[in-house]
Amino acid sequence: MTGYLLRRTLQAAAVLLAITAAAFGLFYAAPSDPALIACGPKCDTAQVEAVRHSMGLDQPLAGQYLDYLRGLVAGRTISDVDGSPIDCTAPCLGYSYTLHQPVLDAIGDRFPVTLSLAGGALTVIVVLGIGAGFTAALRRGTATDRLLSGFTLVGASVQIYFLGYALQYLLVYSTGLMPPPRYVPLAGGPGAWAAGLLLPWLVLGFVNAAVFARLARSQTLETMHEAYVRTARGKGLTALRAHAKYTARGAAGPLVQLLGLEAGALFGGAFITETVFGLGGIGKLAVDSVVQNDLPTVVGTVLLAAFFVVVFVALADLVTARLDPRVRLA
Amino acid sequence: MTPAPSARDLPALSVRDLTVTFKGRGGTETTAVEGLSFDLAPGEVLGLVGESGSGKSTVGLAAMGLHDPARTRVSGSVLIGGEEVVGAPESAVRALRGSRIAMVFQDALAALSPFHTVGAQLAEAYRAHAPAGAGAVVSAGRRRADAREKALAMLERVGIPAARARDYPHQFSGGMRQRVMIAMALMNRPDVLIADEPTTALDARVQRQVLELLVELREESGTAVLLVTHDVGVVAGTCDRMLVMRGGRGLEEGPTRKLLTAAAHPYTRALIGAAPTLNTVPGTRLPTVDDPVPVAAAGGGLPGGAGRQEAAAPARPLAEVVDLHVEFGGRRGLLRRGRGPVRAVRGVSLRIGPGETLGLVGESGSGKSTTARVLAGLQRPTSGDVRFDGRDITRAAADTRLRRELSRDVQLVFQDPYASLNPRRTVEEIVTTPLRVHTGLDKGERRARAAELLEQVGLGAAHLHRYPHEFSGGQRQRIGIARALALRPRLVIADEPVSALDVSVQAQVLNLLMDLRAELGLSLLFVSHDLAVVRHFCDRVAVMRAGSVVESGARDEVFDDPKAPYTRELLAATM
Repeated sequence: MTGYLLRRTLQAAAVLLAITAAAFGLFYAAPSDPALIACGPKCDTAQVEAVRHSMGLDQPLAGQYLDYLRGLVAGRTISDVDGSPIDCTAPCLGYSYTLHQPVLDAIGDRFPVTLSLAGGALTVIVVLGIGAGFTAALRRGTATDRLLSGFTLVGASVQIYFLGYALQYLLVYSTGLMPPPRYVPLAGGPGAWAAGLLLPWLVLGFVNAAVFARLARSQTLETMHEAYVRTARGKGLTALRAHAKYTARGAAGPLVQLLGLEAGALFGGAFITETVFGLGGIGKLAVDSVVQNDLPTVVGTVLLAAFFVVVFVALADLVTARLDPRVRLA
Repeated sequence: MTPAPSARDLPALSVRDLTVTFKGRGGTETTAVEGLSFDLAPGEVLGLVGESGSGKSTVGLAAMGLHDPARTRVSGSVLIGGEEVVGAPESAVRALRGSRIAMVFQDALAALSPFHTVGAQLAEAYRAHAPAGAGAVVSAGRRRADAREKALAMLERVGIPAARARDYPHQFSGGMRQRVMIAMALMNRPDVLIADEPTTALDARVQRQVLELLVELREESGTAVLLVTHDVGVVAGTCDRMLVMRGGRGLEEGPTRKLLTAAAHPYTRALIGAAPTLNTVPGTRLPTVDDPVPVAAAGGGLPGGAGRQEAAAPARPLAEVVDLHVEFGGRRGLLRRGRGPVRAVRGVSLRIGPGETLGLVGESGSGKSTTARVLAGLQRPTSGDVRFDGRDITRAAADTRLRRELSRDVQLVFQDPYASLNPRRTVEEIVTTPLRVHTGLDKGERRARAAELLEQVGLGAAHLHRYPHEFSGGQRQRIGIARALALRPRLVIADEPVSALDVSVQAQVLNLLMDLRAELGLSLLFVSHDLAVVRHFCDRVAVMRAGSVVESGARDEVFDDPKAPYTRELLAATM
């Protein structure tokens, strides 16, 4: 187990290293001049060169990359536009000259929003998606099955920006059934926190639930006829108990894997949802930074998203192995 | 057929006029069991014998009330100790399941949950029916401990150390798993145990042990056993009475000994004679049920047989392996705890002469299939020499061209006639594939050859455009044989070609192979776990165990005077 974790950590580190290299390469492939952007539109050539020098952009590429990596591990000091030092502690993701703050701080400010949004949406996915798929399979061929399968399919076929605005209009502005969506920190009271995020959770969860519902349904249909489920019923267990204990366990593997990928994706930011509901999360930060050529922030958010995918996929593997003793971690 | 039960000793299981109908898609209905009646006395072992599709397994499931009610119609009556199952509410049937009637299934690996320890699964069987008790607060933990204790005791009883209760099913051998299954079924000392092909997937020696355990436990607990099987040998050694089923109906019922020696119905007689035993004259045509006689063999007496053996002792063998070693796996790496390689084959030497049939016998895991795969050029040997017709083919598995050339002369027949034919290809496409790859025949010529081949194996040109799923298991195996023969190969490697088939179909396929062998002068490597079949079919025999050949020689030598203790053990276990 220890060996496995160590191996897996090394693998993850290698993946992240490759991603930083690729994202860092973007810095230079992009047809923009970070020095020019940092300096502002009113700078003359000499000023831009001065800024370029103080930012270290005139150093060789490899040197800058190593600096970046060192900053990630040990922190470093970055020069501001005017040459004054900015202390950037590890893990240093660089400094955003657009936002005038270290990238890590920019991410840190917005991360609670993404964390809240992703966590709630994942809960909706599990309850609505997997729950509906499991129930539909147990009631295969009945009206319940058709209703649940159809309902989740609706989610897959509508776009967040349509459903989000439509529901906002219907439930918030026309009828006042729900409070306007907004982010209130959990510290400001769990009630207000949940109330403000309820609609984004439902929309983001519902739209992503269909894949899980379909997979859960087909997985359940496949495992519910396994001989071990019949054995369990042969012991005198009720059908529901046999399915909850044995069928669900057998169906779980691929769902856990998919959930790992989904969690990784959602924790990296959900731009459309954040935009529709006016929430300032990581997704919005990432897209804004791309639009504004704020390259340190672009690299930082790309790295963060990759980090979550790597972590959640590894976590999904661990859970899969825990659920099925035949799975060997390798 | 059976005497009416007196009120005093009620039968453990009483089935009257049982009819089970499955509703298919589009309103089609299949009647699996029709008007079946029988009684099972307390403590009795009744063998329910039939081939696949005879409805025998359906009887067991109906008695457990385990059919999907939405797709099954059950009528008639099934009484368990006087309590009706058919039409009873689910809660009532559930109270019987696992307590009064329990079931052991064929494939214990599939029937046991892979996610739970065997101890937990056994304990659950007990807890499902343990009385809730009055003091509910105290009893929850107490019941758990009770159940655990009972589970451990039961495991010990079936010969599994209690310490292994914490292991998962996949960590046990096939025989041990079936013991776990039996222990689980008997946790609550049921009145009736339904054992559906409990030993079919097991090696002969293990099969014998498991059946002995079953009979022993029956005597201890007084549980009546309904032993559902296709294997007359199993019934002969285990059951007091037998009931033969065919096409969903009960055909004949009576004391086992009487039916084995003097069955009234021709089908019963055919079923009993279809499987060769160690007393059958080798090479004789096996009696079958509705045997479609292959065209080429029609009228021919019995070619092959005893006379063949003397002929087959040539100077140069057709195929040969010398000191073959095959190892699997054993990957080691940085941070990876090394597991040594699995040594599947350890120094095997074999030779097959032209026109000779070599039987390769062994239990599962003995390395016999791996050896066959090396000879077919499908498995790279770790070391050793492999020659075909004098040519070195050791590298065939790594060398595409060499393997391709080899496949002209060496063809395979596989065990599973369902998995080894592509379901999306017509029979014509399947049979002509080797011709397309290896010959310059045009489409018309290939079709003509395919038709000829199908007739050779007892099918016909009319079958060319059908798909595999339209055929029975035996017919599919004939198609597989036709495909193997398409190129007129010099060596056919048949890996358990009849072990997935019903006995009467097995007899047909064996007869066919004997005919074809004589007609085409084939050499065969016949891999099998079934000693009786090998004795019947092969000229020479090699017995494998744990990757080595423990004994080899001419058929009569090995069977009449086995030298290796292991061979004697295997023979003793053969039913």
